[in-house]
Amino acid sequence: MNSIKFKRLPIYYQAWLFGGIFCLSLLITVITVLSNLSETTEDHSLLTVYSETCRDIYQLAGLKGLEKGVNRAGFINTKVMLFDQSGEQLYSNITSWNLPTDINWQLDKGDLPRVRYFSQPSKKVMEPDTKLKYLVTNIDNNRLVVAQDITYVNSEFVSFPWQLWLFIFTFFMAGVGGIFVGYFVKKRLTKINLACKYIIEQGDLSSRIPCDDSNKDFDLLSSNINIMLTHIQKLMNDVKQVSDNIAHDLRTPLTRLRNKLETLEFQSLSAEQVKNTHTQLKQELDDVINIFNALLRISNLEYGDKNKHFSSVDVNFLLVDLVEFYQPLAIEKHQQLSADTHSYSFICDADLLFQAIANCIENAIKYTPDNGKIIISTSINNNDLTITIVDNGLGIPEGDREKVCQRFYRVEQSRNTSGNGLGLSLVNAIVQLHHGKILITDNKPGTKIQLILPILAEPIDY
Amino acid sequence: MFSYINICYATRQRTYINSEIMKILVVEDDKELASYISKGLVEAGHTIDQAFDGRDGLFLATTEIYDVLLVDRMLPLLDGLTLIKTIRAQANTTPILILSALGSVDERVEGLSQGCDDYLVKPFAFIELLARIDAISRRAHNNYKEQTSISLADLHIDLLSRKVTRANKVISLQSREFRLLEYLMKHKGQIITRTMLLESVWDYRFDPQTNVIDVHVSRLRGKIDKGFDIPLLKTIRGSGYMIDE
Repeated sequence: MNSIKFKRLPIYYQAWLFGGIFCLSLLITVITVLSNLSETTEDHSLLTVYSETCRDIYQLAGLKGLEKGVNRAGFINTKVMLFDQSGEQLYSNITSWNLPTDINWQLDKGDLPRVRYFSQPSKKVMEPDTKLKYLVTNIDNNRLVVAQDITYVNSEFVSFPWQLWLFIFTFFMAGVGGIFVGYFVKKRLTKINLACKYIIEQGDLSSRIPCDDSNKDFDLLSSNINIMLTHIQKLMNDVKQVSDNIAHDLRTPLTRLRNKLETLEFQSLSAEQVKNTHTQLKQELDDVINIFNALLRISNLEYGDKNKHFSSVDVNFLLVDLVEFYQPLAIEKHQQLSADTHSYSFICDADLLFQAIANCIENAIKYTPDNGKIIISTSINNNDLTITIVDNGLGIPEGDREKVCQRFYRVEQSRNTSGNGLGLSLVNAIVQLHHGKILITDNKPGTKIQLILPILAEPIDY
Repeated sequence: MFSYINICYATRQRTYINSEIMKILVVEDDKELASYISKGLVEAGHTIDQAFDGRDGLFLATTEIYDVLLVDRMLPLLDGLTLIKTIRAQANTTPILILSALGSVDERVEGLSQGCDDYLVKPFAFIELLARIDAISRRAHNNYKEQTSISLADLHIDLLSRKVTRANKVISLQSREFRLLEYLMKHKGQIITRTMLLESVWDYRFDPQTNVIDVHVSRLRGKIDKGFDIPLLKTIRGSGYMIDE
């Protein structure tokens, strides 16, 4: 939930939020380090060194030497005192601060020298409590006390003003950094957004988002959007072309229909002629309905459920049935139609494969002159089943071979024969449903259509 | 209470020979189409009840006795498939024909699996509808499984030995030609459309773009009618074929 909210934030807020988190973690780190410093890892060695120095001086040069040595060494912020056994103060150096009077500078018997702490609540308002640390050591039955005032050592770091300013500064720097980074990110995003907006508003799918190599991520984004645009543009063109074709190819039968209706309306026809015209009208309408049905079927195949009716089919049976079905038509044209196949069981949609090959055979019969020859054969190589339909008819001009699978495309010389230019489109859709491809080549003379279908391992059940 | 129109039996001239007089329920929400169908069926000599939604359709189908039900798939209040399922659940075996704009293979299969007897996709030719109504009502009345031979005039076919004779002369047919003739003979006196032939005689669901069915029928005609005085296999112009005396 939170991550979703965060993702929705504008880029500047994200940067600032990161700045804030950064400052907070910095604060926690500093506080942790300081508190550890003040209590445990604080430098005790200085106190010990002072103490040892004082003892060495005292043992070498006596009380006078100690007095001189301490003054000369100028121990910072440190009180050095020497007591005799009875507790009489033998020596004390002068510091800016005074020791509280009620400390007992005793070193217990057997107790090793160690740093101790002393704390005294403050009597005045706005003044921190007095804090001391001290080290007591025995020298020749005298007690040497080395003490340091640490009242301000800790409080100084944790105290209000300069710490706060530090964090304000850090936060400010984080903010500036955020704005800086955000600015460049936003600049690139704005560029992409503007380009997209332009494309949406103008509907101009040919324009592209500028790419440069300054930023790999954004460049990738831009180029991906560009690839998507190219794809959309291609699809749009396809749709446009198809709808142009539909409009054009439906206009022809519809115009004829209209003309015939007008004939009925304005010309005096005999009862027989009226009946004939009615039959023709029905035929024209049926043609239009057929075109729509064929189009729907193709798009269903292209975008509908796939593999739904796949099963194992003996290709031999299928081709024998096909040849049997079309034999009368071929005989009418004195054509020789034969299948040269052998039994092979193949996983496919039998009805659709039948339809696809039927369309190819119909084309072959239609565009092969009388006494022609049409042969269907199958071959299996590697992982493909190839069904080949060859004829020795008109053939398809080389330039048209790519286009004949487009909807409504018809080769120029065949425009006058019956047909709607959807036959091979349907074959193409069916072959693609089977993940195969169509290969149209020259049979010199005639056409050679190869349906190359990959062999599936086993039926896909849905 | 419910909106259906009982169209009285019209004493018009029967346009289509040999169809029996049937009482048909038309469940179709498109009133224009419903009235077109009803008018056509009345002209064909049938008695029609109409219902414009699924609930009325179910009420009529369960309270009255019909010979055939015509049911649209997409109906208000109760859809066609549920209606059919409900009727079939009551052990009612009245032949049902679905009329639908949904025409993909899956949709047909779905419809047929719910217990309807035939499926006709809109838009359809009226003659197709009529031929199919005849076919399913005939199928309900006659049980051809028990029949081993069919005769028409001097044409005789034996369904077991697959032997065809006309005027005691043996006619040899290829297996597909025999199936074609068998189907026509089982529906003798009825108009059979090209689509009906394609669906019943060939094992594949497909859509030939050429007149190949006509060629098959004319070859069959060449075998059974050629050389005989009375042609039995007739072409009904603009609709299909019929085998009749």
